[in-house]
Amino acid sequence: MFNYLFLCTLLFVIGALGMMARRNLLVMFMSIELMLNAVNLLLVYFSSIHGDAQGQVFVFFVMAVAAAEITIGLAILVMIYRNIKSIGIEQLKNLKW
Amino acid sequence: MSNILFFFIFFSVQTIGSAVVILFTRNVMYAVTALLSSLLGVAALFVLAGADVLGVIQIIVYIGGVLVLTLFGVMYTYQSPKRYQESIPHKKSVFILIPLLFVLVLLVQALPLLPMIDDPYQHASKVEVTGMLWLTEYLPIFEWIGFLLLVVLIGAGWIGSTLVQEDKSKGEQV
Amino acid sequence: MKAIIFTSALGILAMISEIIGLKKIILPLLIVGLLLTIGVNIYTEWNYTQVYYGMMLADNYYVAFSTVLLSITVLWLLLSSESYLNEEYNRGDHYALILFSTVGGLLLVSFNNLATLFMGVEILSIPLYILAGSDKNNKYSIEASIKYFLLGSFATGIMLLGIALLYGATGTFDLGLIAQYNAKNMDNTLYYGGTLLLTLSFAFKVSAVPFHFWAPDVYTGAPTFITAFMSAFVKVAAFAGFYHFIQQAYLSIPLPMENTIILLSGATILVGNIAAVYQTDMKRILAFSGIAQAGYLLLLLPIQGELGKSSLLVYLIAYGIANLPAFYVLYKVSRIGGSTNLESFEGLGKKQPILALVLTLSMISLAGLPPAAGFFGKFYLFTLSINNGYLWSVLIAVIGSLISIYYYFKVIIRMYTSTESTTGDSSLSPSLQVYVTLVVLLVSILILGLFPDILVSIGRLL
Repeated sequence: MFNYLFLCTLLFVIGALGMMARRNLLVMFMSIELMLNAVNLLLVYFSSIHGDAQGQVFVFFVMAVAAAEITIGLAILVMIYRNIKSIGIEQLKNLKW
Repeated sequence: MSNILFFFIFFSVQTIGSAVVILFTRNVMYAVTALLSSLLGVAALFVLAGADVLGVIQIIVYIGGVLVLTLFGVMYTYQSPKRYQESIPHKKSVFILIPLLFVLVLLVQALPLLPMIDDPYQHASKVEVTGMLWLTEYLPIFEWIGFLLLVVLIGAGWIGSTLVQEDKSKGEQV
Repeated sequence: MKAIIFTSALGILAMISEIIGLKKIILPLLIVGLLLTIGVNIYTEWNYTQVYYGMMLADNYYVAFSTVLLSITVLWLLLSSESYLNEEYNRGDHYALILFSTVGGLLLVSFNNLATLFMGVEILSIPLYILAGSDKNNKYSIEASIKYFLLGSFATGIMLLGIALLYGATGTFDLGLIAQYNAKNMDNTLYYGGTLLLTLSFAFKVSAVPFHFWAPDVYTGAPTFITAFMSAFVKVAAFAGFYHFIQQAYLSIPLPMENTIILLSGATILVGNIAAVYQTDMKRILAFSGIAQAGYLLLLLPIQGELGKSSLLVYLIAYGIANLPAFYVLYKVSRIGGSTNLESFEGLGKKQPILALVLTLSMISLAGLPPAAGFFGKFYLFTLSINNGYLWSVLIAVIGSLISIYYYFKVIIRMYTSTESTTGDSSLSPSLQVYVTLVVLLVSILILGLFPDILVSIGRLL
């Protein structure tokens, strides 16, 4: 019942599924956030059971990088929206997958 | 049932439930709201795991920064559902199986090994140690984070700008 | 450390060059600055191992591979000067992003802590997400950008989960301490899970087979010179980083990891080579050829010791100097012919003998045939793998190489057989600095092919 590892893996898998199954760019970005949050929670948990502060420091870096990544993602999204007037990547299939 | 266990279960359910809403909803606005709820749940779980300062940072960075950015993205690109209906493919079962298998393996083998956190405040607060580490051993990483943010600043500004090249023919692949 | 600081400073200089009025001379400035950086780096850090804050390990391995990476950037700047001189827009920003990406590559060959590894991967990739979409009105380019971004972020998530599990098992991010843990305690699911996930995320970065599908699309969609940078620089940096990780974090490589890598290698070689046979677009051929080369290189990763390092150095240098000129010729041809199809290459041998010669030699080197540098890269790799007992994998690799000769020579034959009789086309001829660069590259391909001992003797010192 009381297990962070289970919770984090579940959250990570939900995020990964969102990345794979959804085709709406914004939802995919949110799924990335979920994955990174799961990792953060796991790092904090391990930091707690090891009694070691390094994990918490690492979480801070992950947060900063996640914010940076989502910024880049939204900039690309703006560029795409300007070109195709949509945010569904199923409309982007000029290149063979 | 101890109080702390009750809070753990409450916030776990909140986090996972909101994540599931993000996974299945077709309305982006609902998804953003669910993300807010999920991030708040994670912030609370941070505190329960003994990382109170990270809980605060989570609220500042994610909810004050990332979520507002995402909300901006939603408003910028909003279209009525009549114009854009997302097609969710159903043939991805193979991709869904892989992470599920991974969870199973991890759960079966690792669950009994790990201790639980029964009381987040049984240890002394790690805030002081964390701060020391940030500014001593992890100082280079701090600088590289700053560097990365500079990269993002240039990149996002440049890619989002509307200064376009007129002489290029559209859609030609070079 | 000095190399990283200098390169960052050059990147910032490139960024503000338009403001401070250095726009016209920024390219020569950057090239001189990078060459100086290479010199200072070798002079001050060679044979002088140092650990900075426990985060970075500057040993001979770092010096050798940072020299390779910086040289690739210099060559790329020289070769791409033609394309960016034509279009005056945002040159400074392009150069700045490329140099920032170079800094990420330098971090990736010197990390001593998983936090540095993470930052290196991010600083390497994020500028490339942007650069892949730098042709902002081209629907192929933006598609390449978003695909690269999404899959790259996914791989980052996997890598972070791997790091988290490793931390859970060992309680540290320091590679030295993780290696000590590995030495005394071998059976822990978290440890193996973390190792496996990190391996997979690296496999994604080097485009090994189950995770290769992004590479052909991104390579095709991105502007040609950005593809050249991704193909040469990123692959070298990712492989050097992967090898560095395995060297530093494991005293002896765990058997599951070894098996995973060997399995990935076999699949990558077969899929890359067989898929390349069916391509008609030159960019896609080069993309699949890059996947196949990644397969050969994966064979090298579980091999520890100086032989493995020197062999990796030879192979990566041969790969880098063969790949850059190939992309340059591709750019030239597509600029005139309007497409990157194989048909555009017909008659190139008559129209522009120099470009045809360059492409021929780089194709021979990539195929791994005798007079070129690629031959010795493959030769050392295969002998070393056989000595290590990977007999079946080497057999697959040899079969893959035989298949690869077919598609590399398809290109060469297309260039020299032409029905129409065309005379020299002056619009294709390269400018002076590019010409000199091409000659330097050709000569070094031949010299390294004829006297491989130069590099091997350096590799012994790593």
